[in-house]
Amino acid sequence: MLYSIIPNEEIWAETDEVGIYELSINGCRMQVASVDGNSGVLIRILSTDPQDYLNPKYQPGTSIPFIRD
Amino acid sequence: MELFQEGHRNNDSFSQLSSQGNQDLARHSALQNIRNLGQMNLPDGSSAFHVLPVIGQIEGHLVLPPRNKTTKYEHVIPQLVAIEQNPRIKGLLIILNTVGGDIEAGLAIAEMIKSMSKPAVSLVLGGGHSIGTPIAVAADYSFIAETATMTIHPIRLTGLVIGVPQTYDYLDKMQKRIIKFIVDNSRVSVQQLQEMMFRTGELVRDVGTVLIGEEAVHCGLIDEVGGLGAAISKLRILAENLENIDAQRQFQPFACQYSPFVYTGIGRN
Repeated sequence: MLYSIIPNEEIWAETDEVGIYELSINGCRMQVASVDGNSGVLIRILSTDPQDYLNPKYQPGTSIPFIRD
Repeated sequence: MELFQEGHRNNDSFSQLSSQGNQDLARHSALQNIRNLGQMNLPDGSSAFHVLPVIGQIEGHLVLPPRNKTTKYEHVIPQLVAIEQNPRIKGLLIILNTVGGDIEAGLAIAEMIKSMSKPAVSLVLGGGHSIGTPIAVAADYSFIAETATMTIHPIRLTGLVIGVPQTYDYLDKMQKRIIKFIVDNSRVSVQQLQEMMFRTGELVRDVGTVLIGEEAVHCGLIDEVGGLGAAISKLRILAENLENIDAQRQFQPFACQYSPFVYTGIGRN
Protein backbone atom coordinates (compact mmCIF):
# COMPACT_ATOMS: atom_id res chain seq x y z
CA MET A 1 0.00 0.00 0.00
CA LEU A 2 1.52 3.27 -1.11
CA TYR A 3 1.34 6.61 0.66
CA SER A 4 2.86 9.04 -1.79
CA ILE A 5 2.21 12.39 -3.45
CA ILE A 6 2.93 10.88 -6.88
CA PRO A 7 -0.28 9.45 -8.42
CA ASN A 8 -0.34 5.66 -8.66
CA GLU A 9 -0.77 5.63 -12.44
CA GLU A 10 2.46 7.59 -12.76
CA ILE A 11 4.35 5.28 -10.40
CA TRP A 12 3.24 2.15 -12.26
CA ALA A 13 3.70 3.57 -15.79
CA GLU A 14 5.64 1.02 -17.83
CA THR A 15 8.76 2.18 -19.61
CA ASP A 16 11.57 0.49 -21.52
CA GLU A 17 13.45 -1.86 -19.29
CA VAL A 18 16.95 -0.63 -18.39
CA GLY A 19 19.35 -3.27 -17.17
CA ILE A 20 20.40 -2.12 -13.70
CA TYR A 21 22.55 -4.45 -11.68
CA GLU A 22 23.74 -4.32 -8.13
CA LEU A 23 27.23 -5.43 -7.25
CA SER A 24 29.83 -5.03 -4.52
CA ILE A 25 33.38 -3.86 -5.12
CA ASN A 26 35.73 -3.77 -2.10
CA GLY A 27 32.69 -4.09 0.13
CA CYS A 28 30.97 -1.07 -1.39
CA ARG A 29 27.55 -1.82 -2.83
CA MET A 30 26.65 -0.02 -6.05
CA GLN A 31 24.08 0.14 -8.82
CA VAL A 32 25.48 -0.24 -12.32
CA ALA A 33 23.63 0.18 -15.64
CA SER A 34 24.83 -2.29 -18.23
CA VAL A 35 26.17 -0.80 -21.46
CA ASP A 36 27.05 -4.03 -23.22
CA GLY A 37 27.79 -7.58 -22.19
CA ASN A 38 30.71 -6.94 -19.90
CA SER A 39 30.85 -3.31 -18.92
CA GLY A 40 28.58 -0.81 -17.27
CA VAL A 41 28.31 2.69 -15.95
CA LEU A 42 28.09 3.41 -12.24
CA ILE A 43 24.77 5.04 -11.35
CA ARG A 44 25.10 5.39 -7.61
CA ILE A 45 26.76 3.78 -4.64
CA LEU A 46 24.68 2.50 -1.74
CA SER A 47 26.81 3.37 1.26
CA THR A 48 26.17 5.29 4.45
CA ASP A 49 29.85 6.24 4.83
CA PRO A 50 30.18 9.76 3.41
CA GLN A 51 33.89 9.13 2.69
CA ASP A 52 32.96 6.53 0.06
CA TYR A 53 31.36 9.29 -1.99
CA LEU A 54 34.71 11.09 -2.21
CA ASN A 55 36.48 8.05 -3.65
CA PRO A 56 37.41 8.91 -7.28
CA LYS A 57 36.83 5.28 -8.26
CA TYR A 58 33.17 5.48 -7.23
CA GLN A 59 32.08 8.64 -9.02
CA PRO A 60 28.82 8.34 -10.99
CA GLY A 61 29.47 7.73 -14.67
CA THR A 62 32.63 5.71 -14.04
CA SER A 63 32.92 2.69 -16.28
CA ILE A 64 32.75 -0.54 -14.29
CA PRO A 65 33.86 -3.77 -15.91
CA PHE A 66 31.82 -6.75 -14.76
CA ILE A 67 30.83 -10.17 -15.93
CA ARG A 68 27.15 -10.94 -16.08
CA ASP A 69 25.98 -14.36 -14.98
CA MET B 1 58.38 3.32 -5.98
CA GLU B 2 58.11 0.88 -8.85
CA LEU B 3 57.04 -1.83 -6.47
CA PHE B 4 54.50 0.51 -4.97
CA GLN B 5 52.96 1.15 -8.38
CA GLU B 6 52.99 -2.55 -9.08
CA GLY B 7 50.92 -3.00 -5.97
CA HIS B 8 48.44 -0.44 -7.20
CA ARG B 9 48.07 -2.11 -10.57
CA ASN B 10 47.43 -5.39 -8.84
CA ASN B 11 44.78 -3.75 -6.75
CA ASP B 12 42.89 -2.52 -9.81
CA SER B 13 43.01 -5.73 -11.74
CA PHE B 14 41.74 -7.72 -8.78
CA SER B 15 39.13 -5.26 -7.67
CA GLN B 16 36.26 -7.34 -8.98
CA LEU B 17 37.29 -10.45 -7.08
CA SER B 18 35.46 -11.79 -4.06
CA SER B 19 35.68 -9.80 -0.83
CA GLN B 20 37.87 -12.48 0.76
CA GLY B 21 40.38 -12.07 -2.04
CA ASN B 22 40.27 -8.32 -1.64
CA GLN B 23 40.96 -8.53 2.07
CA ASP B 24 43.97 -10.74 1.43
CA LEU B 25 45.19 -8.35 -1.23
CA ALA B 26 44.77 -5.32 1.05
CA ARG B 27 46.72 -7.04 3.81
CA HIS B 28 49.40 -8.03 1.30
CA SER B 29 49.85 -4.50 -0.07
CA ALA B 30 49.94 -3.06 3.46
CA LEU B 31 52.73 -5.47 4.37
CA GLN B 32 54.59 -4.61 1.19
CA ASN B 33 54.35 -0.92 2.01
CA ILE B 34 55.99 -1.49 5.39
CA ARG B 35 58.68 -3.67 3.84
CA ASN B 36 59.51 -1.41 0.88
CA LEU B 37 59.02 2.08 2.17
CA GLY B 38 59.14 1.61 5.93
CA GLN B 39 55.72 3.22 5.92
CA MET B 40 52.56 2.14 7.59
CA ASN B 41 49.16 2.76 6.07
CA LEU B 42 47.27 5.30 8.11
CA PRO B 43 43.90 4.21 9.45
CA ASP B 44 41.25 4.95 6.84
CA GLY B 45 39.53 8.28 7.25
CA SER B 46 36.11 6.81 7.93
CA SER B 47 33.56 9.27 9.25
CA ALA B 48 32.22 9.28 12.79
CA PHE B 49 28.80 10.22 11.42
CA HIS B 50 27.22 8.22 8.67
CA VAL B 51 24.61 9.51 6.26
CA LEU B 52 21.41 7.85 5.08
CA PRO B 53 19.92 9.54 2.03
CA VAL B 54 16.22 8.76 1.61
CA ILE B 55 15.40 9.75 -1.96
CA GLY B 56 12.58 9.16 -4.43
CA GLN B 57 10.02 6.49 -3.59
CA ILE B 58 10.42 4.28 -0.53
CA GLU B 59 10.21 0.76 -1.92
CA GLY B 60 8.88 -2.14 0.13
CA HIS B 61 6.84 -5.19 -0.85
CA LEU B 62 6.55 -4.37 -4.54
CA VAL B 63 9.41 -3.61 -6.91
CA LEU B 64 8.58 -0.35 -8.66
CA PRO B 65 9.17 0.20 -12.40
CA PRO B 66 12.75 1.34 -13.15
CA ARG B 67 11.82 4.96 -13.96
CA ASN B 68 11.10 5.50 -10.26
CA LYS B 69 14.08 6.53 -8.22
CA THR B 70 13.81 4.42 -5.08
CA THR B 71 15.18 3.88 -1.60
CA LYS B 72 14.92 0.19 -0.94
CA TYR B 73 13.94 -1.39 2.38
CA GLU B 74 16.43 -4.24 1.93
CA HIS B 75 19.31 -1.78 1.56
CA VAL B 76 18.41 0.54 4.41
CA ILE B 77 17.55 -1.93 7.19
CA PRO B 78 20.90 -3.83 7.18
CA GLN B 79 22.75 -0.51 6.97
CA LEU B 80 20.96 0.66 10.11
CA VAL B 81 21.84 -2.60 11.89
CA ALA B 82 25.49 -2.18 10.87
CA ILE B 83 25.56 1.44 12.09
CA GLU B 84 24.05 0.44 15.43
CA GLN B 85 26.73 -2.22 15.93
CA ASN B 86 29.84 -0.43 14.66
CA PRO B 87 31.60 1.22 17.65
CA ARG B 88 33.43 3.70 15.37
CA ILE B 89 30.18 5.26 14.16
CA LYS B 90 28.94 7.86 16.62
CA GLY B 91 25.75 9.01 14.94
CA LEU B 92 23.52 9.06 11.90
CA LEU B 93 22.35 11.90 9.69
CA ILE B 94 19.20 11.15 7.70
CA ILE B 95 18.71 13.33 4.63
CA LEU B 96 15.20 13.26 3.20
CA ASN B 97 14.09 14.18 -0.27
CA THR B 98 11.29 11.72 -0.75
CA VAL B 99 7.85 11.70 -2.36
CA GLY B 100 6.61 8.97 -0.03
CA GLY B 101 6.08 5.32 -0.84
CA ASP B 102 5.29 2.01 0.80
CA ILE B 103 3.62 2.41 4.21
CA GLU B 104 5.07 -0.74 5.77
CA ALA B 105 8.61 -0.05 4.56
CA GLY B 106 8.43 3.60 5.61
CA LEU B 107 7.17 2.79 9.08
CA ALA B 108 9.74 -0.01 9.42
CA ILE B 109 12.60 2.38 8.62
CA ALA B 110 11.11 4.96 11.01
CA GLU B 111 10.84 2.39 13.83
CA MET B 112 14.44 1.28 13.28
CA ILE B 113 15.68 4.89 13.46
CA LYS B 114 13.58 5.55 16.56
CA SER B 115 14.89 2.49 18.41
CA MET B 116 18.55 3.10 17.58
CA SER B 117 20.72 3.78 20.63
CA LYS B 118 23.02 6.09 18.66
CA PRO B 119 22.02 9.71 18.07
CA ALA B 120 20.10 10.34 14.86
CA VAL B 121 19.37 13.72 13.31
CA SER B 122 17.13 14.19 10.27
CA LEU B 123 17.26 16.95 7.70
CA VAL B 124 14.38 17.50 5.28
CA LEU B 125 15.80 18.95 2.07
CA GLY B 126 13.60 19.56 -0.94
CA GLY B 127 10.68 17.43 0.17
CA GLY B 128 9.70 15.04 2.93
CA HIS B 129 6.22 14.11 1.82
CA SER B 130 3.67 11.48 2.90
CA ILE B 131 5.47 8.50 4.47
CA GLY B 132 8.63 10.64 4.66
CA THR B 133 7.05 12.45 7.62
CA PRO B 134 7.31 9.53 10.10
CA ILE B 135 10.95 9.01 9.05
CA ALA B 136 11.72 12.70 9.64
CA VAL B 137 10.19 12.73 13.13
CA ALA B 138 11.71 9.36 14.12
CA ALA B 139 15.14 10.94 14.61
CA ASP B 140 16.18 12.37 17.99
CA TYR B 141 16.17 15.85 16.49
CA SER B 142 14.81 17.06 13.17
CA PHE B 143 15.72 19.93 10.87
CA ILE B 144 14.01 21.30 7.79
CA ALA B 145 15.60 23.53 5.17
CA GLU B 146 13.93 26.91 4.74
CA THR B 147 12.67 26.02 1.26
CA ALA B 148 11.83 22.36 1.90
CA THR B 149 8.22 21.20 1.84
CA MET B 150 6.25 18.48 3.58
CA THR B 151 2.85 17.36 2.30
CA ILE B 152 0.41 15.97 4.85
CA HIS B 153 -2.50 14.21 3.10
CA PRO B 154 -4.78 11.19 3.55
CA ILE B 155 -3.95 7.73 2.19
CA ARG B 156 -5.62 6.95 -1.14
CA LEU B 157 -6.91 3.66 -2.43
CA THR B 158 -6.56 2.71 -6.07
CA GLY B 159 -7.35 -0.36 -8.12
CA LEU B 160 -10.33 -2.56 -7.36
CA VAL B 161 -12.07 -1.06 -4.33
CA ILE B 162 -15.09 -2.69 -2.76
CA GLY B 163 -17.59 -0.08 -1.68
CA VAL B 164 -18.30 -1.41 1.79
CA PRO B 165 -17.84 0.22 5.21
CA GLN B 166 -14.97 -2.21 5.92
CA THR B 167 -12.90 -0.56 3.19
CA TYR B 168 -13.15 2.75 4.98
CA ASP B 169 -12.40 1.11 8.34
CA TYR B 170 -9.26 -0.48 6.92
CA LEU B 171 -8.10 2.80 5.43
CA ASP B 172 -8.81 4.55 8.72
CA LYS B 173 -6.75 1.96 10.60
CA MET B 174 -3.78 2.43 8.27
CA GLN B 175 -4.07 6.18 8.69
CA LYS B 176 -4.19 5.92 12.48
CA ARG B 177 -0.95 3.90 12.47
CA ILE B 178 0.84 6.74 10.73
CA ILE B 179 -0.81 9.48 12.80
CA LYS B 180 0.08 7.70 16.05
CA PHE B 181 3.74 7.39 15.11
CA ILE B 182 4.01 11.04 14.09
CA VAL B 183 2.22 12.29 17.23
CA ASP B 184 4.33 10.08 19.53
CA ASN B 185 7.58 11.38 18.06
CA SER B 186 6.89 15.07 17.55
CA ARG B 187 5.17 18.01 19.27
CA VAL B 188 2.13 17.97 16.97
CA SER B 189 -1.27 16.92 18.41
CA VAL B 190 -3.67 14.37 16.89
CA GLN B 191 -6.33 17.03 16.27
CA GLN B 192 -3.86 19.35 14.61
CA LEU B 193 -2.44 16.61 12.38
CA GLN B 194 -5.89 15.37 11.34
CA GLU B 195 -7.01 18.91 10.61
CA MET B 196 -3.98 19.39 8.33
CA MET B 197 -4.54 16.02 6.67
CA PHE B 198 -8.16 16.72 5.71
CA ARG B 199 -7.89 20.45 5.00
CA THR B 200 -9.41 21.57 1.70
CA GLY B 201 -8.34 24.40 -0.57
CA GLU B 202 -4.57 23.97 -0.20
CA LEU B 203 -3.80 21.20 -2.68
CA VAL B 204 -4.93 21.33 -6.30
CA ARG B 205 -6.82 18.07 -6.74
CA ASP B 206 -6.60 16.73 -3.24
CA VAL B 207 -7.21 17.38 0.43
CA GLY B 208 -4.24 18.01 2.69
CA THR B 209 -1.67 20.65 3.58
CA VAL B 210 1.72 21.70 2.25
CA LEU B 211 4.09 22.90 4.96
CA ILE B 212 7.07 24.99 3.87
CA GLY B 213 10.15 25.24 6.12
CA GLU B 214 9.16 27.37 9.11
CA GLU B 215 5.50 26.19 8.95
CA ALA B 216 6.57 22.62 9.75
CA VAL B 217 8.41 23.93 12.84
CA HIS B 218 5.52 26.18 13.83
CA CYS B 219 3.00 23.29 13.93
CA GLY B 220 5.43 21.19 15.98
CA LEU B 221 6.20 18.54 13.40
CA ILE B 222 9.90 19.44 13.00
CA ASP B 223 12.21 20.81 15.70
CA GLU B 224 14.15 23.51 13.89
CA VAL B 225 14.81 25.25 10.57
CA GLY B 226 18.39 24.62 9.53
CA GLY B 227 20.85 23.12 7.13
CA LEU B 228 23.81 20.77 7.04
CA GLY B 229 26.02 22.71 9.46
CA ALA B 230 23.31 22.92 12.11
CA ALA B 231 22.46 19.23 11.70
CA ILE B 232 26.07 18.08 12.08
CA SER B 233 26.73 20.27 15.13
CA LYS B 234 23.53 18.97 16.76
CA LEU B 235 24.70 15.42 16.05
CA ARG B 236 28.05 16.25 17.65
CA ILE B 237 26.35 17.58 20.81
CA LEU B 238 24.08 14.53 21.07
CA ALA B 239 27.04 12.16 20.58
CA GLU B 240 29.09 13.95 23.27
CA ASN B 241 26.18 13.86 25.72
CA LEU B 242 25.79 10.13 25.17
CA GLU B 243 29.52 9.57 25.75
CA ASN B 244 29.38 11.58 28.99
CA ILE B 245 26.45 9.53 30.27
CA ASP B 246 28.29 6.30 29.41
CA ALA B 247 31.43 7.52 31.20
CA GLN B 248 29.42 8.43 34.32
CA ARG B 249 27.83 5.01 34.37
CA GLN B 250 31.23 3.31 34.30
CA PHE B 251 32.74 5.46 37.07
CA GLN B 252 31.00 4.33 40.27
CA PRO B 253 33.73 3.62 42.88
CA PHE B 254 31.36 3.22 45.85
CA ALA B 255 28.82 1.05 44.13
CA CYS B 256 30.43 -2.33 44.79
CA GLN B 257 29.02 -4.49 47.53
CA TYR B 258 32.26 -5.15 49.41
CA SER B 259 33.68 -1.68 49.42
CA PRO B 260 37.21 -1.44 50.95
CA PHE B 261 36.13 1.72 52.79
CA VAL B 262 33.48 -0.17 54.69
CA TYR B 263 35.54 -3.26 55.40
CA THR B 264 38.53 -1.56 57.11
CA GLY B 265 38.36 -1.47 60.86
CA ILE B 266 36.13 -4.46 61.28
CA GLY B 267 37.84 -7.31 63.17
CA ARG B 268 40.50 -5.18 64.87
CA ASN B 269 40.76 -5.72 68.66
